[in-house]
Amino acid sequence: MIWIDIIFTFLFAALAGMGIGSGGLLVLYLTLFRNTPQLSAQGFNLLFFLFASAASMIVHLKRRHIHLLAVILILIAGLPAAYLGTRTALFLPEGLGSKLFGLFLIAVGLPRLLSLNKEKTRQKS
Amino acid sequence: MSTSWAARDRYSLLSMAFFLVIGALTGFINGLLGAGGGIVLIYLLRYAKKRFPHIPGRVNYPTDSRDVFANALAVTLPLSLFSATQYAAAGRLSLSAFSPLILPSLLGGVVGGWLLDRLKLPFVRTLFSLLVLISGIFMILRS
Repeated sequence: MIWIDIIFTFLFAALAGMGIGSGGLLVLYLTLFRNTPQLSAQGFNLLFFLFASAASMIVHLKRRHIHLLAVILILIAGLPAAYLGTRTALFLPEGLGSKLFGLFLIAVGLPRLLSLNKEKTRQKS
Repeated sequence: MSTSWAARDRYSLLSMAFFLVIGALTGFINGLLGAGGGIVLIYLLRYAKKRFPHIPGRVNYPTDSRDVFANALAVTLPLSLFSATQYAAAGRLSLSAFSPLILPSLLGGVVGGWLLDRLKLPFVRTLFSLLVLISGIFMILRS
């Protein structure tokens, strides 16, 4: 079974390394197929993302244009905001934020996916 | 000449302020939900790219779509590191249990970085939209 874990982790890490995210696929895989408790799966997902993104950054730093000042500015505001977000989460009814954000992602992702498919069909015809 | 420099500085301040706002939104979502900051960041950087394509000044927007993905990753890596410290402080991180998956994570990451340059952009975009959709469904199901 460990080989299947390794193959899936490799595939999800490749997605994360591309910068398009892994969509929480590792958490889904671990909780649904490996019976890993949710919190442990989230911890694994975090570690997996740290290793995958750190490794891919070596490639991105060489090949892509990383706008260092922009990244620093985003982080200057992003890190305290992340702390604030974590504190706010304690006061929200459990699951409400995730549910709303999930709906937002579907509302944004689905039309985009459909428009990309339409573009492809138009290019073919 | 002096007007041009003044305008350039003003635009620099504008773009700097814009990045701070982007950072605040990204960080807050990531902290609030434990995920999703990267997706928000990619959409905001794309919006910035379309809305302000030629803002001059010291801070430039990533103008290439592949650069947007790479820059988003450069932000989400430290943000995740920050989350990891909070998980570790709460005793919810076990590096020893994760150790068999370290190598595939590292190799997959390098392959992903390599693939970003080689895959066709429409395919990368479709993959991204698909993952946004999966994340959305996953967030509803887990809550």
